[in-house]
Amino acid sequence: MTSPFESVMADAELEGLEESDLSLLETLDHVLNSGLVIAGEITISVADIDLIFVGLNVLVSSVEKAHEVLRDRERRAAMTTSSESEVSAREAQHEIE
Amino acid sequence: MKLYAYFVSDDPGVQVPESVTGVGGSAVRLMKAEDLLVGVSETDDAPVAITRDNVVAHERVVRSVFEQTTPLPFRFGNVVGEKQLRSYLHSHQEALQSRLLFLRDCVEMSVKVIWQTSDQVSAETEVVPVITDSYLDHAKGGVGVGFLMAKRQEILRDQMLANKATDIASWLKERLGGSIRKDQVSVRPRDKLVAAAAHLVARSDLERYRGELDKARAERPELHFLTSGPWPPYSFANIDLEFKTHFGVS
Repeated sequence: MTSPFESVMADAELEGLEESDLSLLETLDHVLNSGLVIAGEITISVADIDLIFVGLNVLVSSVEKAHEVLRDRERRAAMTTSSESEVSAREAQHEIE
Repeated sequence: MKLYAYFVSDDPGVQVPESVTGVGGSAVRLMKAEDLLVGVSETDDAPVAITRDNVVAHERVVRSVFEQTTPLPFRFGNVVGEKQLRSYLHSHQEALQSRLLFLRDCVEMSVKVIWQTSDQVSAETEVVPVITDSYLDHAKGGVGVGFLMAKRQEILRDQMLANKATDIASWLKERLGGSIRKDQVSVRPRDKLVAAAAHLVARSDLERYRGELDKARAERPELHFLTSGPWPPYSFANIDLEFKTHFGVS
Protein backbone atom coordinates (compact mmCIF):
# COMPACT_ATOMS: atom_id res chain seq x y z
CA MET A 1 0.00 0.00 0.00
CA THR A 2 1.39 3.39 -0.92
CA SER A 3 1.77 5.55 2.12
CA PRO A 4 -0.02 8.88 1.85
CA PHE A 5 2.09 10.25 4.68
CA GLU A 6 4.42 13.13 4.27
CA SER A 7 5.66 13.02 7.80
CA VAL A 8 4.97 11.29 11.03
CA MET A 9 5.95 12.50 14.47
CA ALA A 10 7.63 9.47 15.97
CA ASP A 11 7.39 10.71 19.52
CA ALA A 12 6.46 9.11 22.81
CA GLU A 13 2.80 9.00 21.89
CA LEU A 14 3.36 7.17 18.66
CA GLU A 15 6.54 5.19 19.15
CA GLY A 16 6.24 1.48 18.57
CA LEU A 17 4.01 1.96 15.55
CA GLU A 18 5.45 1.64 12.10
CA GLU A 19 4.63 4.21 9.45
CA SER A 20 2.66 1.54 7.60
CA ASP A 21 0.51 1.01 10.72
CA LEU A 22 -0.15 4.73 11.01
CA SER A 23 -0.90 4.89 7.32
CA LEU A 24 -3.47 2.12 7.71
CA LEU A 25 -5.01 3.84 10.73
CA GLU A 26 -5.32 7.09 8.83
CA THR A 27 -6.85 5.20 5.90
CA LEU A 28 -9.40 3.62 8.23
CA ASP A 29 -10.11 7.00 9.76
CA HIS A 30 -10.86 8.55 6.37
CA VAL A 31 -12.54 5.66 4.57
CA LEU A 32 -14.77 4.56 7.46
CA ASN A 33 -15.52 7.90 9.07
CA SER A 34 -16.26 10.17 6.14
CA GLY A 35 -17.27 10.22 2.52
CA LEU A 36 -20.41 10.38 0.48
CA VAL A 37 -23.31 8.27 1.74
CA ILE A 38 -26.18 7.21 -0.50
CA ALA A 39 -28.61 5.87 2.05
CA GLY A 40 -29.04 7.28 5.53
CA GLU A 41 -27.10 4.43 7.00
CA ILE A 42 -24.53 1.90 5.93
CA THR A 43 -24.44 -1.66 7.13
CA ILE A 44 -20.98 -3.07 7.48
CA SER A 45 -19.71 -5.91 9.56
CA VAL A 46 -16.81 -6.51 11.87
CA ALA A 47 -16.08 -10.08 12.89
CA ASP A 48 -19.48 -11.20 11.55
CA ILE A 49 -21.34 -8.64 13.64
CA ASP A 50 -23.33 -6.17 11.58
CA LEU A 51 -22.87 -2.55 12.51
CA ILE A 52 -25.07 0.29 11.38
CA PHE A 53 -23.02 3.14 12.74
CA VAL A 54 -19.29 3.46 12.80
CA GLY A 55 -17.82 6.09 15.05
CA LEU A 56 -14.11 5.70 15.41
CA ASN A 57 -11.45 7.47 17.27
CA VAL A 58 -9.13 5.19 15.41
CA LEU A 59 -5.79 6.73 16.11
CA VAL A 60 -5.96 7.11 19.87
CA SER A 61 -7.74 3.87 20.55
CA SER A 62 -5.39 2.01 18.31
CA VAL A 63 -2.28 3.54 19.82
CA GLU A 64 -3.54 2.64 23.27
CA LYS A 65 -4.50 -0.83 22.10
CA ALA A 66 -1.09 -1.27 20.52
CA HIS A 67 0.62 -0.27 23.76
CA GLU A 68 -1.67 -2.59 25.69
CA VAL A 69 -0.85 -5.49 23.37
CA LEU A 70 2.87 -4.75 23.59
CA ARG A 71 2.74 -4.58 27.39
CA ASP A 72 0.75 -7.80 27.50
CA ARG A 73 3.24 -9.51 25.19
CA GLU A 74 6.15 -8.33 27.34
CA ARG A 75 4.39 -9.58 30.48
CA ARG A 76 3.75 -12.97 28.91
CA ALA A 77 7.34 -13.17 27.68
CA ALA A 78 8.60 -12.32 31.18
CA MET A 79 6.31 -14.93 32.74
CA THR A 80 7.36 -17.56 30.20
CA THR A 81 11.01 -16.81 30.85
CA SER A 82 10.56 -17.05 34.62
CA SER A 83 8.52 -20.29 34.30
CA GLU A 84 11.19 -21.76 32.06
CA SER A 85 13.83 -20.79 34.62
CA GLU A 86 11.79 -22.40 37.41
CA VAL A 87 11.33 -25.59 35.38
CA SER A 88 15.05 -25.69 34.59
CA ALA A 89 15.86 -25.12 38.25
CA ARG A 90 13.45 -27.89 39.33
CA GLU A 91 14.87 -30.29 36.72
CA ALA A 92 18.37 -29.49 37.84
CA GLN A 93 17.38 -30.07 41.48
CA HIS A 94 15.70 -33.36 40.46
CA GLU A 95 18.84 -34.51 38.67
CA ILE A 96 20.92 -33.70 41.73
CA GLU A 97 18.56 -35.69 43.96
CA MET B 1 -26.62 -8.64 -7.35
CA LYS B 2 -25.92 -5.14 -6.03
CA LEU B 3 -23.35 -2.46 -6.69
CA TYR B 4 -20.58 -1.28 -4.40
CA ALA B 5 -19.92 2.44 -5.00
CA TYR B 6 -16.47 4.03 -4.77
CA PHE B 7 -16.64 7.56 -6.20
CA VAL B 8 -18.51 10.06 -8.35
CA SER B 9 -16.77 12.17 -10.96
CA ASP B 10 -17.84 14.66 -13.61
CA ASP B 11 -14.61 14.32 -15.57
CA PRO B 12 -15.45 12.50 -18.82
CA GLY B 13 -11.83 11.43 -19.23
CA VAL B 14 -11.60 9.62 -15.92
CA GLN B 15 -10.50 5.97 -15.99
CA VAL B 16 -9.94 3.20 -13.48
CA PRO B 17 -6.83 1.26 -14.51
CA GLU B 18 -7.58 -2.40 -15.26
CA SER B 19 -4.93 -3.49 -12.78
CA VAL B 20 -6.87 -1.83 -9.93
CA THR B 21 -9.34 -4.23 -8.34
CA GLY B 22 -12.10 -3.35 -5.92
CA VAL B 23 -13.53 -4.81 -2.73
CA GLY B 24 -13.29 -8.60 -2.71
CA GLY B 25 -11.02 -8.54 -5.77
CA SER B 26 -13.92 -7.50 -8.00
CA ALA B 27 -13.53 -5.65 -11.30
CA VAL B 28 -14.34 -1.94 -11.17
CA ARG B 29 -16.30 -0.28 -13.98
CA LEU B 30 -17.65 3.17 -14.67
CA MET B 31 -21.40 3.65 -14.70
CA LYS B 32 -22.68 6.71 -16.53
CA ALA B 33 -25.71 8.41 -15.10
CA GLU B 34 -26.87 11.89 -16.00
CA ASP B 35 -23.61 13.81 -16.59
CA LEU B 36 -21.82 11.88 -13.89
CA LEU B 37 -19.58 8.83 -13.80
CA VAL B 38 -19.68 6.48 -10.84
CA GLY B 39 -17.04 3.88 -10.05
CA VAL B 40 -18.78 0.64 -9.07
CA SER B 41 -18.17 -3.07 -8.73
CA GLU B 42 -20.64 -5.91 -8.39
CA THR B 43 -21.20 -7.48 -5.01
CA ASP B 44 -23.70 -9.74 -3.30
CA ASP B 45 -26.30 -8.50 -0.84
CA ALA B 46 -24.30 -9.24 2.31
CA PRO B 47 -22.88 -6.34 4.33
CA VAL B 48 -19.30 -5.57 3.42
CA ALA B 49 -16.90 -6.77 6.06
CA ILE B 50 -14.39 -4.30 7.45
CA THR B 51 -11.17 -6.05 6.71
CA ARG B 52 -7.78 -4.60 5.98
CA ASP B 53 -7.99 -5.86 2.39
CA ASN B 54 -11.46 -4.40 1.77
CA VAL B 55 -10.63 -1.00 3.24
CA VAL B 56 -7.37 -0.82 1.31
CA ALA B 57 -9.17 -1.91 -1.88
CA HIS B 58 -11.74 0.88 -1.49
CA GLU B 59 -9.03 3.48 -0.98
CA ARG B 60 -6.96 2.05 -3.85
CA VAL B 61 -9.81 2.50 -6.33
CA VAL B 62 -10.56 6.05 -5.16
CA ARG B 63 -6.87 6.96 -5.15
CA SER B 64 -6.35 5.66 -8.69
CA VAL B 65 -8.89 8.24 -9.86
CA PHE B 66 -7.69 10.92 -7.45
CA GLU B 67 -4.34 10.83 -9.24
CA GLN B 68 -6.15 12.02 -12.40
CA THR B 69 -8.82 14.34 -11.00
CA THR B 70 -10.64 15.12 -7.75
CA PRO B 71 -13.63 12.81 -7.32
CA LEU B 72 -16.30 12.72 -4.64
CA PRO B 73 -15.31 9.63 -2.67
CA PHE B 74 -17.98 7.40 -1.18
CA ARG B 75 -17.68 6.24 2.38
CA PHE B 76 -16.73 2.59 2.78
CA GLY B 77 -19.70 0.23 2.63
CA ASN B 78 -22.19 1.81 0.22
CA VAL B 79 -23.97 -1.16 -1.33
CA VAL B 80 -27.07 -0.36 -3.38
CA GLY B 81 -29.14 -1.65 -6.23
CA GLU B 82 -28.50 -0.08 -9.65
CA LYS B 83 -31.99 1.42 -9.70
CA GLN B 84 -31.47 3.03 -6.27
CA LEU B 85 -28.08 4.38 -7.32
CA ARG B 86 -29.49 5.91 -10.52
CA SER B 87 -32.37 7.39 -8.58
CA TYR B 88 -29.94 8.91 -6.06
CA LEU B 89 -27.79 10.41 -8.83
CA HIS B 90 -30.84 11.79 -10.57
CA SER B 91 -32.31 13.40 -7.48
CA HIS B 92 -28.97 14.75 -6.21
CA GLN B 93 -27.42 15.66 -9.55
CA GLU B 94 -27.33 19.38 -8.92
CA ALA B 95 -25.87 19.06 -5.41
CA LEU B 96 -23.27 16.55 -6.57
CA GLN B 97 -22.17 18.68 -9.50
CA SER B 98 -22.01 21.75 -7.33
CA ARG B 99 -19.88 19.89 -4.81
CA LEU B 100 -17.59 18.53 -7.52
CA LEU B 101 -17.14 22.05 -8.82
CA PHE B 102 -16.27 23.29 -5.32
CA LEU B 103 -13.75 20.49 -4.79
CA ARG B 104 -12.17 20.70 -8.24
CA ASP B 105 -8.36 20.58 -8.09
CA CYS B 106 -8.44 20.35 -4.33
CA VAL B 107 -7.10 17.75 -1.92
CA GLU B 108 -7.72 17.00 1.72
CA MET B 109 -4.92 17.28 4.25
CA SER B 110 -5.27 15.80 7.69
CA VAL B 111 -3.75 17.19 10.88
CA LYS B 112 -4.18 15.54 14.24
CA VAL B 113 -2.92 17.33 17.31
CA ILE B 114 -2.03 15.19 20.27
CA TRP B 115 -1.22 16.74 23.58
CA GLN B 116 0.88 15.10 26.19
CA THR B 117 -0.70 13.69 29.28
CA SER B 118 1.20 16.34 31.23
CA ASP B 119 -0.69 19.07 29.30
CA GLN B 120 -3.98 17.59 30.42
CA VAL B 121 -2.75 17.23 33.97
CA SER B 122 -1.54 20.82 34.05
CA ALA B 123 -4.91 21.99 32.75
CA GLU B 124 -6.62 20.00 35.45
CA THR B 125 -4.39 21.23 38.25
CA GLU B 126 -4.86 24.82 37.12
CA VAL B 127 -8.42 24.51 38.30
CA VAL B 128 -8.26 25.28 41.96
CA PRO B 129 -11.70 26.03 43.30
CA VAL B 130 -11.89 28.83 45.76
CA ILE B 131 -12.56 27.11 49.04
CA THR B 132 -13.40 29.63 51.65
CA ASP B 133 -13.97 29.07 55.37
CA SER B 134 -17.64 29.44 54.68
CA TYR B 135 -17.49 26.57 52.15
CA LEU B 136 -15.67 24.39 54.64
CA ASP B 137 -18.24 25.17 57.29
CA HIS B 138 -20.97 24.09 54.90
CA ALA B 139 -19.01 21.03 53.82
CA LYS B 140 -18.91 19.87 57.41
CA GLY B 141 -22.67 20.02 57.30
CA GLY B 142 -23.14 17.04 54.99
CA VAL B 143 -22.13 14.98 51.99
CA GLY B 144 -24.46 16.95 49.70
CA VAL B 145 -22.30 20.07 49.80
CA GLY B 146 -19.17 18.01 49.31
CA PHE B 147 -20.72 16.33 46.27
CA LEU B 148 -21.71 19.67 44.75
CA MET B 149 -18.22 21.08 45.33
CA ALA B 150 -16.67 18.06 43.63
CA LYS B 151 -19.12 18.43 40.78
CA ARG B 152 -18.26 22.11 40.45
CA GLN B 153 -14.59 21.27 40.28
CA GLU B 154 -15.27 18.67 37.59
CA ILE B 155 -17.25 21.18 35.51
CA LEU B 156 -14.51 23.80 35.87
CA ARG B 157 -11.91 21.26 34.85
CA ASP B 158 -13.91 20.27 31.76
CA GLN B 159 -14.33 23.93 30.84
CA MET B 160 -10.62 24.54 31.23
CA LEU B 161 -9.76 21.56 29.02
CA ALA B 162 -12.35 22.58 26.43
CA ASN B 163 -10.97 26.15 26.37
CA LYS B 164 -7.42 24.91 25.94
CA ALA B 165 -8.46 22.53 23.15
CA THR B 166 -10.46 25.23 21.37
CA ASP B 167 -7.50 27.63 21.66
CA ILE B 168 -5.26 25.06 19.99
CA ALA B 169 -7.77 24.53 17.16
CA SER B 170 -8.17 28.30 16.65
CA TRP B 171 -4.43 28.83 16.69
CA LEU B 172 -3.93 26.15 14.04
CA LYS B 173 -6.65 27.60 11.85
CA GLU B 174 -5.13 31.08 12.15
CA ARG B 175 -1.68 29.81 11.16
CA LEU B 176 -2.94 27.83 8.15
CA GLY B 177 -5.89 29.98 7.19
CA GLY B 178 -4.15 31.57 4.22
CA SER B 179 -3.73 28.32 2.37
CA ILE B 180 -6.93 26.44 3.14
CA ARG B 181 -10.28 26.77 1.39
CA LYS B 182 -12.34 25.05 4.01
CA ASP B 183 -11.78 23.12 7.19
CA GLN B 184 -13.52 20.70 9.47
CA VAL B 185 -12.26 20.54 12.99
CA SER B 186 -13.36 18.32 15.82
CA VAL B 187 -12.15 19.16 19.28
CA ARG B 188 -11.95 16.44 21.90
CA PRO B 189 -10.64 17.99 25.08
CA ARG B 190 -10.88 14.84 27.15
CA ASP B 191 -8.91 12.73 24.67
CA LYS B 192 -5.22 12.62 23.99
CA LEU B 193 -6.06 13.47 20.42
CA VAL B 194 -7.16 16.97 21.27
CA ALA B 195 -8.03 18.20 17.79
CA ALA B 196 -8.51 16.51 14.44
CA ALA B 197 -8.64 18.81 11.45
CA ALA B 198 -9.36 18.14 7.80
CA HIS B 199 -8.19 20.93 5.52
CA LEU B 200 -9.30 21.43 1.95
CA VAL B 201 -6.32 22.73 0.00
CA ALA B 202 -5.99 23.62 -3.68
CA ARG B 203 -3.38 21.44 -5.35
CA SER B 204 -1.57 24.61 -6.38
CA ASP B 205 -1.40 25.76 -2.72
CA LEU B 206 0.05 22.55 -1.30
CA GLU B 207 3.62 23.80 -1.02
CA ARG B 208 2.47 26.94 0.77
CA TYR B 209 0.28 24.87 3.10
CA ARG B 210 3.17 22.57 3.96
CA GLY B 211 5.41 25.55 4.70
CA GLU B 212 2.82 27.13 6.99
CA LEU B 213 2.24 23.83 8.76
CA ASP B 214 5.99 23.38 9.34
CA LYS B 215 6.18 26.86 10.85
CA ALA B 216 3.20 26.15 13.10
CA ARG B 217 4.73 22.89 14.29
CA ALA B 218 7.97 24.63 15.15
CA GLU B 219 6.03 27.23 17.11
CA ARG B 220 4.42 24.73 19.48
CA PRO B 221 7.01 22.06 20.30
CA GLU B 222 4.96 20.89 23.28
CA LEU B 223 2.29 19.55 20.94
CA HIS B 224 2.56 16.41 18.83
CA PHE B 225 1.34 16.59 15.24
CA LEU B 226 0.36 13.78 12.95
CA THR B 227 -0.09 15.01 9.42
CA SER B 228 -1.11 13.00 6.42
CA GLY B 229 -2.19 13.60 2.88
CA PRO B 230 -2.98 14.47 0.22
CA TRP B 231 -6.24 12.54 0.49
CA PRO B 232 -9.28 12.45 -1.74
CA PRO B 233 -11.71 14.89 -0.06
CA TYR B 234 -13.55 12.33 2.09
CA SER B 235 -14.38 14.88 4.80
CA PHE B 236 -15.92 17.34 2.35
CA ALA B 237 -17.90 14.92 0.21
CA ASN B 238 -21.08 14.21 2.12
CA ILE B 239 -23.74 16.52 0.73
CA ASP B 240 -26.54 14.95 2.79
CA LEU B 241 -24.78 15.48 6.07
CA GLU B 242 -24.15 19.12 5.25
CA PHE B 243 -27.76 19.58 4.17
CA LYS B 244 -29.04 18.13 7.44
CA THR B 245 -26.61 20.11 9.56
CA HIS B 246 -27.33 23.31 7.67
CA PHE B 247 -31.05 22.97 8.17
CA GLY B 248 -30.75 21.71 11.71
CA VAL B 249 -32.31 18.34 10.97
CA SER B 250 -29.61 16.17 12.47
